[in-house]
Amino acid sequence: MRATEMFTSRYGLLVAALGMAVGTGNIWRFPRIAAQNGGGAFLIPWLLFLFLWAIPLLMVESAMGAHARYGVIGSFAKLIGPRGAWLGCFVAWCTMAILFYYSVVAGWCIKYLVGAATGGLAGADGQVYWDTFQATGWEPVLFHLVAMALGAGIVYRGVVAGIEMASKVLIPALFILLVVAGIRAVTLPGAAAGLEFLFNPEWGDLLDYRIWLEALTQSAWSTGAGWGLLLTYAVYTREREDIVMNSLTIGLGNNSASLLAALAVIPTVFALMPAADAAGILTTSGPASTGLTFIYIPEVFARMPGGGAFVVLFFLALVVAALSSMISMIELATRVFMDAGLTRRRALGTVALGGFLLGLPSALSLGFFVNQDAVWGIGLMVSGFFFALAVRRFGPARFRVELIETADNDLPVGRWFDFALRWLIPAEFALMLGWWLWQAATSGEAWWNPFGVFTLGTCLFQWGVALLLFRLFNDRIARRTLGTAAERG
Amino acid sequence: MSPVTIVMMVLVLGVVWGGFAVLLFLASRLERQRRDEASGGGDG
Repeated sequence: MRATEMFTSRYGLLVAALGMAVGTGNIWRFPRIAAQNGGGAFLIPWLLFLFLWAIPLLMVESAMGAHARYGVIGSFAKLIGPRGAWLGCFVAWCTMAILFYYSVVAGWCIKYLVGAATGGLAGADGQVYWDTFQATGWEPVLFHLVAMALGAGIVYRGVVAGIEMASKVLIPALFILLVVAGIRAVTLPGAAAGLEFLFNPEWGDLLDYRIWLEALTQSAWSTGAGWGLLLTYAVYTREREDIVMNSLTIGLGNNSASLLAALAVIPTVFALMPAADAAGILTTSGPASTGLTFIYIPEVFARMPGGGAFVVLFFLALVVAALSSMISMIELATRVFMDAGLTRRRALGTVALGGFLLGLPSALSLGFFVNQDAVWGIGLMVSGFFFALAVRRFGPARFRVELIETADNDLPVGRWFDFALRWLIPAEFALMLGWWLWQAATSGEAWWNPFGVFTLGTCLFQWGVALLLFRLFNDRIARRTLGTAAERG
Repeated sequence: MSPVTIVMMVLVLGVVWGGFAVLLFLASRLERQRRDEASGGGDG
């Protein structure tokens, strides 16, 4: 029988899963997206989509992994038959492609933490510091290597001694850091203006469809629903796990971290800047969406008493969040290679080395980074849809009864799950994709260009190549994944 | 701060943070209960 490690307790699983979900997107992306989309008004659809997209998909992932006991590809093949392995291939590849450039971002965070801790960041012009860092060429590569080595080092120790142990330290530390930063921020004189900006809704904004679509996108990306990461962790769960309660806890825990990050960032910016400038800074994306985090925050935070320590605290939280998410991506890829017959050590070595090499173009070129972020970030919508598609093929009611509402489930999920998987999530996917296609086609850039940085053509081209290859080699991949595991018993 | 801001803060933070705290509490209680059942303890 195949020896498989198990998380030692529900707490162990929950902190690891929270580490997976809470990433740089909570700290870096959420405050900016909330600010760009009306603050208070944005929070309403953002909260709704947690329950209408993210949590049902988290339940699906948990159930698939725990049922199949395979990584992403094997789980799809086992649920809907070997002919459906290509769906799992796309999901796994999408997350691996994100890992390649996510490690680069984690490297940036480490660089800024080092800069903040050693005083190199203090008093520096944010834009000049960023430009100098990027212009060296070798520094982003070095920090990308450091990030990948740190992540692989944790995963090398295994699920219990590595991922679970690290998450038990990183996640409580992250929440404590965010709470401390949040308390410091809301107690600054003038912070009330930031709270007003974040929580006071302009009700008319709710009529703008873009707010709803941005909220859905943020919910899809930030919770990790549809990435296959929770599915991978579910492979290592004990037999008796409550899927519904765990998924709700992960979803709400992720959004709790987002709100803490917003409370740390938005009131601070308003307390230290005139209101008009504050709103401008919060909504500026900057190169590769780095504006708020890597250019303005060090400058703005440095203006307050004890600002140096606050900047260290902020980047430490960012590093912790990035690492805890990265290890789940490394584990996903490692599990896929293990299912294909590699030993854990060899699978991890392949992922770490391949991840470093394939991340190099993003480390060296911001244009390439932006391209990959767009192609595979948006590809996650397709991944989420593929999960819904697999459940539709299996039968949503059958999936709920046989795989979710087992005797070990304490909270019932009810028939709304069937509706969500059969109709709601496919409809949300169609709306999101349709909106994005329309935006891309009318953006002015030659939308058909397959080699553009942020064009419709580049997404369709890269998704198309991946899907074509996975469809072509579907049978071989399925045989290798299911066959190898079956041979082992 | 305006009353609307305060109400929204209470609602959003109540649902998200409150919900998270309640679920964590429930999860740890049920985990303890299951461990007790598995070890056959609790009823002497």
